[in-house]
Amino acid sequence: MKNSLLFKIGGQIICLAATAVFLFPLILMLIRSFSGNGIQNYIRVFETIDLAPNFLTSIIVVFGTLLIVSLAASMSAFAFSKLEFPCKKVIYYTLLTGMMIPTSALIFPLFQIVRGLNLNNTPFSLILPYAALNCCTNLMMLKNFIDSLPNELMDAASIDGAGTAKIYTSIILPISIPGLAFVLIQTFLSAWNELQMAMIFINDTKIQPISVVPLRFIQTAGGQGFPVEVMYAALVICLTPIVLFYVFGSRFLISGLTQGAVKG
Amino acid sequence: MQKKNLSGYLFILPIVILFLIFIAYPIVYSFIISFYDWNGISIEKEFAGLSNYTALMHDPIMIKVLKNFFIFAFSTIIIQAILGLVFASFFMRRLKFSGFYRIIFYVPVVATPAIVGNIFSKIFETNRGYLNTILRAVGLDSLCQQWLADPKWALACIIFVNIWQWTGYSMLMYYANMLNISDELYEAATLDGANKFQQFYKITFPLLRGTHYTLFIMGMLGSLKCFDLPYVLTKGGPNYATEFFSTYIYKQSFNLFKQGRASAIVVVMFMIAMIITLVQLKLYYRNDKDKELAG
Repeated sequence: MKNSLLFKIGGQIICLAATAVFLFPLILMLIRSFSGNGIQNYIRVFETIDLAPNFLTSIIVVFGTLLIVSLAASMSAFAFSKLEFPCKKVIYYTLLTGMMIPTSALIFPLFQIVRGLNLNNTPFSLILPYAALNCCTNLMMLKNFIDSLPNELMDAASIDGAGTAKIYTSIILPISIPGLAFVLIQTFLSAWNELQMAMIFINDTKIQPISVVPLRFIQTAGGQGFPVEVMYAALVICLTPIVLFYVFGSRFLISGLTQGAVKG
Repeated sequence: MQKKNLSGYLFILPIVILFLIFIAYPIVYSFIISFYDWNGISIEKEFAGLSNYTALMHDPIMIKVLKNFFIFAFSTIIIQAILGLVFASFFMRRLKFSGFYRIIFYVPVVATPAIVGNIFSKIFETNRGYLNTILRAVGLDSLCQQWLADPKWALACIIFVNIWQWTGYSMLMYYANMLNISDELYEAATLDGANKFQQFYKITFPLLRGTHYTLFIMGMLGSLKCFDLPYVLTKGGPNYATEFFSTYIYKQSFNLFKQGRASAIVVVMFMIAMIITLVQLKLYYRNDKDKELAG
């Protein structure tokens, strides 16, 4: 399987060109954020807008969602994989349709629910809808992962007298951590980046999640006191957490996608 | 046995509750509202029968929405698949720096859409946008366009940004599934004298059928959901050239307060989503491998 020289050179040229295209907008943003006054642009961002509450909202939303997803998705995946009960297949496939449903199809009724519960303009308005959608999206993957775990472990435990709950907490949960970690990374990304619900359920710009904040910049950028360079600096600040997350999580994410985790 | 049944239900209770309140209920609610004339705020709603649906059938914008959906879906799915296959096969043949490229190409997938949209809106801007500046700098003034402000180009720009963002995903899906194809097949093919191209065409491509299906379905659903990029880049304009289901529903609901109309569009969109889902289930049942749904 030696590669020809033509393949090596051609492949590198194509990949380098693609790298340039994929990185161009991001590098452009980074370079422009330093143009003019250099690091001063970043200081200006902190002087003019207080992003801390926005980051706090995002963090609360993401961790709340992760908490619910890790419990609800793993419990149900375990039940669908290893337990028997009537109508199991029907319920399972009904839940899977949840991942097919576009956000826009849900958004107005959800807004009514959120407003009815007086949750709008709080991070909690987003946690439950995100959790519901992400649970359905990840249910199948997690079920397939648990399917691949041997039944012998469970059988041995139940001979020892462990109940179903005990089997879930002390056997299934610990050994399904690799699958769960992958699910949680995906959930983290989707909850952190979600725009549509976030901008409607939380319309108070002071506490909007960080995924919505850049929308404000489009209108205000270029105006007095908020030059374009400062906007780019603000964008870099908004993008930094997710990039850091990706830098540390990418190895895991990509190996999860390529090895087994997806296919179970 | 009795006890076992009960405990199974207990374990799925949380997800079922979430599903019923936050997914099933909103769908049913939209179905009902689609038969009413309602602004979404006042207590009074007026029963309107099928009038919201008949109005939709005569709505020229709805035709644009459908057209945009199909153009967007097919062009993004096909181009992302081709690029994804090319990069994935480079990685399979262990091109140098593959690991590095894999990580770079996946970066756009994780980038926040509002930020991506914001940067691209500066790139495509007519007067001082970077694209036109670059074109002018290399003397290709004739290629300068109004990009996002020109109905002929706006959709193409959004398609481009979408491809930019999601190619990494297709690439990784193909790569993951190529790793599953046994080396022996290729060795046998090499012994039979098949060249690299024939091997790809006769072995790799057909064996990736499950991935093609998955990416097709995900792409169709993604196009149906598509909201962030058109909302940030064009708000559906100019002249509805980039109007999608999601942006149109948003406008009807939250700008025009025509909740009945919006719900009727929701129902249409939901039907399309269900048709796609049924096609998918049929494809997978035929293969009897529901595991491949995810990859």
